[in-house]
Amino acid sequence: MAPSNPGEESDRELIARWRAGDSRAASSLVSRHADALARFAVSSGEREEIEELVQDTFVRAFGSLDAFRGESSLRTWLFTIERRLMLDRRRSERRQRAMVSIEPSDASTEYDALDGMLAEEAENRVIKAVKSLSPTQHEVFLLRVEQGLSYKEIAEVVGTTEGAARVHYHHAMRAVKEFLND
Amino acid sequence: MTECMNAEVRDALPDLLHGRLGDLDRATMKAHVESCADCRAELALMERVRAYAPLGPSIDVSRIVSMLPAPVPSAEQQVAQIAPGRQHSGMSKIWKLAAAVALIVAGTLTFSKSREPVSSGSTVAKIATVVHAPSAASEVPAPAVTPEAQPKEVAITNPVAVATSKRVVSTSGLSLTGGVQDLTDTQLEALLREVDNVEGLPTAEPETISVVVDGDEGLQ
Repeated sequence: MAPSNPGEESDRELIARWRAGDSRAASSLVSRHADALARFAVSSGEREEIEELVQDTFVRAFGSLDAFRGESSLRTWLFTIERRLMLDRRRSERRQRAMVSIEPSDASTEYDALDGMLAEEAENRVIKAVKSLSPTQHEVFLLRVEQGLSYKEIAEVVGTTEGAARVHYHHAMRAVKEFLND
Repeated sequence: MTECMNAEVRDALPDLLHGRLGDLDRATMKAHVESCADCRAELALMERVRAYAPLGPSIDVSRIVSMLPAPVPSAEQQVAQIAPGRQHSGMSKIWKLAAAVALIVAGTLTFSKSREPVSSGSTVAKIATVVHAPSAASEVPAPAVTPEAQPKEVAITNPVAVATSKRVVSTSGLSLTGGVQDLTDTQLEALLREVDNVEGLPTAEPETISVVVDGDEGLQ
């Protein structure tokens, strides 16, 4: 992702500096992307050990930066890694607890926990509208609206095509509107 | 809530929200949104979704950085780091090869010198030395070969001459293995006389050869 400030170094420049042994470049990269990763994890339904998840994402990413060709943005690549880690974690939990996760009903459960924290009905309705989406629509919608990823980047993260990501997004937006209009 | 019919604009609304549009596109989009109630409502919905999204916990950046693996040099950096070593290794190989060649040459020369048989050639050389340097024991450098002396040397290197010199030597009772310094003055003079008598040049002149090519005059 290009730096928001024109004077800032790009991710590519920071990666080059880190490879040259500058640990401050690693701090800059982590600072730049950590919050987005944490937010994506929470929005995706993760509630525990978020920091560990973000840390594992960075450790794995920095350990295989040679595989990062720069065809996508670093943030997109980090989201991809984090998403895989979340899926692995959920599979592991499913095996351990013999319970199915990441189903639409589970997403509702995750958001139900937040309902009490939200004071206004409008907020509740918006959140409920989002949680009513199918897992794929939910994921694409959050990546598009919350994270601002392009369709191409979303396709890379969730492992689909750009066209399919666009269709999922528009279906999701339509579903949210219909939920709020009811 | 209805939908704007401009799908391209609806596609780009999240980009407008996140500031991912260029100046021209942003101005166009803002102008459209101001005039389109559906797009305004959709943009407002996005802002709410974004605002209501749960925030993640605060992240300890330094802790994560401390857990990161050590950087692996890129391929270019690895080449740059290895190159001097390789260069040194290459130079070292060249020097080793040169030393080996020098050793082999020196060994071969030494071996051939030590195993050099006493042959007519060496005798001829000794005789030639005698011809050019009457006093082999003298330390004076050998004089330049004069035109008169050159044919004599050629004559001596001729096999016939060698055979003759052998005969001369044998009749003179000289040892083939001895040095010139072993000869007495008398023997040396006798040897030189014999050498002078050796016919080094063929007596017969080469015959003239006439070549006729297609009726042309012969070439001589």
